[in-house]
Amino acid sequence: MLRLRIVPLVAAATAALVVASACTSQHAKAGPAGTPTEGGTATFAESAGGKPDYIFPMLTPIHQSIANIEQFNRLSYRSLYWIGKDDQPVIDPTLSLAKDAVYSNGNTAVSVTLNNYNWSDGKPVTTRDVEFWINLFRANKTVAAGYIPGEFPDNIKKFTAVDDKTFTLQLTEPYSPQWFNYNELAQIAPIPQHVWDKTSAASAVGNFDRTDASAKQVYKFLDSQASDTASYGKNPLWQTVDGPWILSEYRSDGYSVFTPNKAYSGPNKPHLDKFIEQPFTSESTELNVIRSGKTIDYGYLPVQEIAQQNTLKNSGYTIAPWKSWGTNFIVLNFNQPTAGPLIKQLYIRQAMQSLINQPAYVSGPLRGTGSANLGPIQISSFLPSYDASKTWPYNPQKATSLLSSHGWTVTPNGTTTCAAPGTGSTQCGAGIAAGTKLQFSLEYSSGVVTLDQEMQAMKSDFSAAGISLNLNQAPFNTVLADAAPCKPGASKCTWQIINWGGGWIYGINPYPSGDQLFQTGAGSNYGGFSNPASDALISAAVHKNDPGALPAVANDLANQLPVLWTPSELYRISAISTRLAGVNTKQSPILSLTPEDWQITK
Amino acid sequence: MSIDLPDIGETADQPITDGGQAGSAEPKQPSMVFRRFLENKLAVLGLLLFLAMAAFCFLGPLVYHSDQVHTNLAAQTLPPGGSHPLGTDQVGYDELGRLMVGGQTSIEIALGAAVVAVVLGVIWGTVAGYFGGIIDALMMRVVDSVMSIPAIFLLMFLATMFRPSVLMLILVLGLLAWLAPARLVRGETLSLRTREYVQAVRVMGGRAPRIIVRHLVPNVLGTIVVNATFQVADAILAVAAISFLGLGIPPPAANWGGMLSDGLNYTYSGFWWLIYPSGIAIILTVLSFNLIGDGLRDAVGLRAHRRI
Repeated sequence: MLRLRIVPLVAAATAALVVASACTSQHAKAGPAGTPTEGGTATFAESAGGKPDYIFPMLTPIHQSIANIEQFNRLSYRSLYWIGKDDQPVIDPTLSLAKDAVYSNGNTAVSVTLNNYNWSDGKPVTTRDVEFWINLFRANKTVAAGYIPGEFPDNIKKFTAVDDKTFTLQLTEPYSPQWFNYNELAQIAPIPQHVWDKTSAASAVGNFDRTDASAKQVYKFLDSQASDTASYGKNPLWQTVDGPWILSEYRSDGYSVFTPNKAYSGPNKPHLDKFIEQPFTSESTELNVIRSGKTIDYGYLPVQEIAQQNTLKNSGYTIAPWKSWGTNFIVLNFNQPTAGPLIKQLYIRQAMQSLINQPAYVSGPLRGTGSANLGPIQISSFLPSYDASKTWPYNPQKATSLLSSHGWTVTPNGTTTCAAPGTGSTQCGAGIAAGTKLQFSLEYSSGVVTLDQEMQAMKSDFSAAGISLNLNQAPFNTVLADAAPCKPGASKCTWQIINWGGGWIYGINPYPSGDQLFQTGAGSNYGGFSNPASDALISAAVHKNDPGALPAVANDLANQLPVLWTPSELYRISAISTRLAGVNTKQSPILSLTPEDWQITK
Repeated sequence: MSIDLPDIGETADQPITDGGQAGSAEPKQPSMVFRRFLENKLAVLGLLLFLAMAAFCFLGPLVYHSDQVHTNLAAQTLPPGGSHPLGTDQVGYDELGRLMVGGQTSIEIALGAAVVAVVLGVIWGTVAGYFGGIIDALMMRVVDSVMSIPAIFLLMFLATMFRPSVLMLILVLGLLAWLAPARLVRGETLSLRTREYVQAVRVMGGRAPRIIVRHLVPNVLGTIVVNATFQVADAILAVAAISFLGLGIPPPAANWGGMLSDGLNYTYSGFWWLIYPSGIAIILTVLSFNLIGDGLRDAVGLRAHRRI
């Protein structure tokens, strides 16, 4: 699962909305204006302020973003299973490094056979490369993004390489094959052991990954190299890839140039000479560039400028809404010393959720391109509907009532204060002293118009119940860095509420069981939510093939509010140049890119 | 920051302004400066313009009432008319009322930052220029060093350290802007300190503080004032720029630069009322300060005397 750079997500029902109805092509491919050719350069517009900045595919939580994984790492390093076939969040076997996994022994063992892929230096991708990834992750699981206690790699009893192409995993307990394929095996991205398994630039390659101590040194070395962004274009480490693209140039602002991996052994060889990712500091700047000429081949139309779609069409662009598979939310910090005691009170979270006027956000800032979102899973085949009694739609009277009935003196347009401290059912709750003010600081990403408007509206709406929000903006990457999880009782834990914008994409883990985001101790449980009952339901969804398990998780989290749910939004309204052939307008629901399919037309 | 380079030729002819104690050829009493200022029609126009803008921002809300605290998404980007003479903005705030509130912040920050920058710059520049030698070298290397640090870096650093407020922005912008006036003043002081009247004061036992305060500062006043007007203008624009970095004052507070920046997101949608009013307000205010500065320079300098 990935944190998303602003704006994504929309439920299936959104299809009838303005953008979709106005601009989607019925064809899977954008219509080229001429004959496809070999060579040339295509330029993709990065999201405003959301530059890639980490090339090592085993990321730390602060680097876990769409810009880094799906639109940067993935171009060069492929995972065992490629998620996303057209606009559906399913495995695409043609782009996967491995054949279908085979389960046995009551789903406690799984066998995986690799397809015939090579690294760019000609060496084959083998089970040793898979083992290397597993070993590094195992030794560094506490710092690597995506780790969930009890899950991978804790649930791997034994890794066995049958031969260079086939390996087996003995599991500690039975797992749902669907969950294990999507959320565990699809995370594994083989990395070149024969090049990267060393502890310094000067050291020789060895089998350092096979002991925890030296595996930590290897990880430390690779992380340090990945942190040296100035060396990206020339560091030989990153020149060995198994994907179709090699990063050949990188600038500190996120400007990235990829050139084809001439030895790419997978399907769909690149046609372009260069693929460029162009950074922008704001959406309006990006739109200005698109309107000024043809320097951007694959950009986007900011939601607030949706009226410009016809202008772009006349300028030679195909407009296509880009939906993502995920959920949208604002993170609450349960472990922040000041705000934590307030946030831990379920009734306060429910009051806050009841003050988020999602219908107004959709019709206002989102210009009708989104939909209300009250839980962790979009309405889909995974979840036909939520139990309405478990959800907390906009209802300011309910919010006021919840606070009043728990001992708060509600002061609309002022600051509500606790008048009845204590842990009784009509009192404020544990750790809340008399006179405590119901106020929070909220940091959110700058540079995105819709997000800024939503946060302003939220501050205004919260004031109706006397909940004071002190807004603070910062660049996206700063917000991501600030959102580091805090341990309970940590003294250096300053952020209270954070909204990086866009919530979460179920990218690496498309099965939305919530284990990575909301399970106690999960690596991406940024706010530190912990609820044994929720953990039990999540565990059931992970281990059992019960079709009711996932809806149970969804309804529970909709009610428990580990985060504040916000409207589902489009990731982008894509503007694709008609000079670009091969672009699938049914864009990846996990927001990955396949520029190897693209061709310049003349 | 824009810099108005000193006119060495004029400076050489400038009279001292210490009430004649050092042999002033033409002592300038405040009343004389004021009279000369009033004789400059453009300067008077600038003053009136600024007073009008200040009245609009600070007295306007007393007459024209609008809710600048609660958003109204149902009234998003309404065109001018009816109960909203200048329309509404992207979250439903009345644009005319927002212009008033935003102007208060902009003017407060701009004036405050200019004062901080000029005061610091004058003190630093005159001390460095008067003493010269190693003191001058050290002080100006400090200026050079601070100048070499990218302002964007400092702003981002400060954004992570402090919660933005009007006072903080005044200090931040002022502390980033004092370097230019310091250099400017130091250059003039180097020239002035060799004048006979300065040497005469020194021979008569005048100490450095007195020489600096009574004889040097008044003679660089023209340069200071003109530079201050640029500082005001630059500060208004700088507030808009740093809003993106998270240093801007958070909503529901507003400033003209931020309003203009927000409005530019709708450039192609034809929502002119989100762009022109704040843009015009900035232009008029900046223009007014430039006219005032020009008039003040003339009033305290020889140029005005020649004009008479």
